[in-house]
Amino acid sequence: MKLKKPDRSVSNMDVLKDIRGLLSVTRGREDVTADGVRGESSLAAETARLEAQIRYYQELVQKQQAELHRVEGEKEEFAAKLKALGSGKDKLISPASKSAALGEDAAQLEAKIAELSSALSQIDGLLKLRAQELLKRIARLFQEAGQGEVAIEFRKAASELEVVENFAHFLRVLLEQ
Amino acid sequence: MGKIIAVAQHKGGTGKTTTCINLGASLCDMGKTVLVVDLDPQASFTVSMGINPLQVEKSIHQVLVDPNVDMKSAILRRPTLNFFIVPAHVDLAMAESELAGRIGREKALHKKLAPLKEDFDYIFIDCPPTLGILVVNALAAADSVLIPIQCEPLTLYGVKHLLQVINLIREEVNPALKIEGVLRTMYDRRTKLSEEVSDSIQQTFGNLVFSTIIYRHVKFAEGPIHEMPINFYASRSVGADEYRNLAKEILTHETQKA
Ligand SMILES: Nc1ncnc2c1ncn2[C@@H]1O[C@H](COP(=O)(O)OP(=O)(O)OP(=O)(O)O)[C@@H](O)[C@H]1O
Ligand SMILES: [Mg+2]
Repeated sequence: MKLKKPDRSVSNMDVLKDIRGLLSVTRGREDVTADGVRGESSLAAETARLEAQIRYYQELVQKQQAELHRVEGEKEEFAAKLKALGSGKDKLISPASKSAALGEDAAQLEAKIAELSSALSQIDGLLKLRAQELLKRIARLFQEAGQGEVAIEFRKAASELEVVENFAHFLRVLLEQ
Repeated sequence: MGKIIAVAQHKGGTGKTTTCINLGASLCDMGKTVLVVDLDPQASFTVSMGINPLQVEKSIHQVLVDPNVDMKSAILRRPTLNFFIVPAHVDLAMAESELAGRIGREKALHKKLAPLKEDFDYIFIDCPPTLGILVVNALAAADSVLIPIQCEPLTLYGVKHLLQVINLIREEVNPALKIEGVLRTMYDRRTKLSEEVSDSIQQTFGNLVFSTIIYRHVKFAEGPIHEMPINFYASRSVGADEYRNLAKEILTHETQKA
């Protein structure tokens, strides 16, 4: 267990640890409930973890924004080059092929910008979701601290985005009926 | 005996359909007989094959909901290649409610598809970007899952969820389900982030990651609009080469096992 400041790099994302845990179940599936019992201190730990995650998302938003700006700048540069190529068509040697190559680059940048923008809005969404979760959790902490049932509820909700919760429920209903 | 591989990831636009097309075509080219089942109501795969999903006589939809329609009767063949297709139709979106209330509905696809393992070397299932009865059916019918991951940090959350789903399916429906591999797609050489994510994927998934990386190519992005992405495969484009390498890796999986 590490308690160090969260590292900024992708390789230190919490989700990678979660994935490793899941993979160990996927590969040798003997111990399905390895995550059985966690003490009450997990409440505080979970809260801290969520807070760290929120900070991480905030950084990610900044990173993506910077990347978006950079790519947009690059795109403008390309547009200018393309224009120059177009106007000086007769003078240049084989401008057609060069312009085609630049055009392809410009299209690639365009695609990148669209993708970064959508990623940005997704991260924003996640950020909100996490913040909400954190608030709910703290409220519950005040309301019913120390209750076993709550602890279970708490663990279940922790770290899962709603989509999987819904899916697990869906699958249960599907198989039960 | 063929192998059924579900190409799944509920995050949209990670390259599932592109992988089915180009990996499928590459395997065909290497002499394998390939079937792709389009299980996505968006029918992108079907459209990409130049088939109008509104005009198909029989689609995967009928196969799933009508006990009297067998899979073979819905198969179309692409001329010149050993590439076979079960098309989708928008009405597949209704399968969800139609299958509700049926016993064994999570096994509907498995029942129809399993007998075809005799006839094909590889059967790919192009999954929709959702988590619902269609994906449950795909994972219940598959021997393994191929997970395309876009080299972007957010996608890792999607992968985590998919692994949770796979574990659930293994516990409840299909204990034999394996991970065929994790495929890094749309890797952008211009960004550090792609590299970071790619490295993390490598470290986390270890030998479950395909060594082949699919880079971002403008030609791929244009594919569906020009309706024939299979052209990349036929062409000498770099992307086509990448998918050929992936096909080779898939083939080694079989020889390693044998
Ligand atoms: N390597 C690549 N480089 C550039 N563009 C790509 C690449 N792979 C796929 N694309 C493009 O990205 C878009 C999404 O790809 P694709 O349809 O294969 O994803 P998908 O996961 O099947 O999407 P959906 O979740 O909607 O079914 C398409 O327009 C496709 O042409
Ligand atoms: Mg698709």
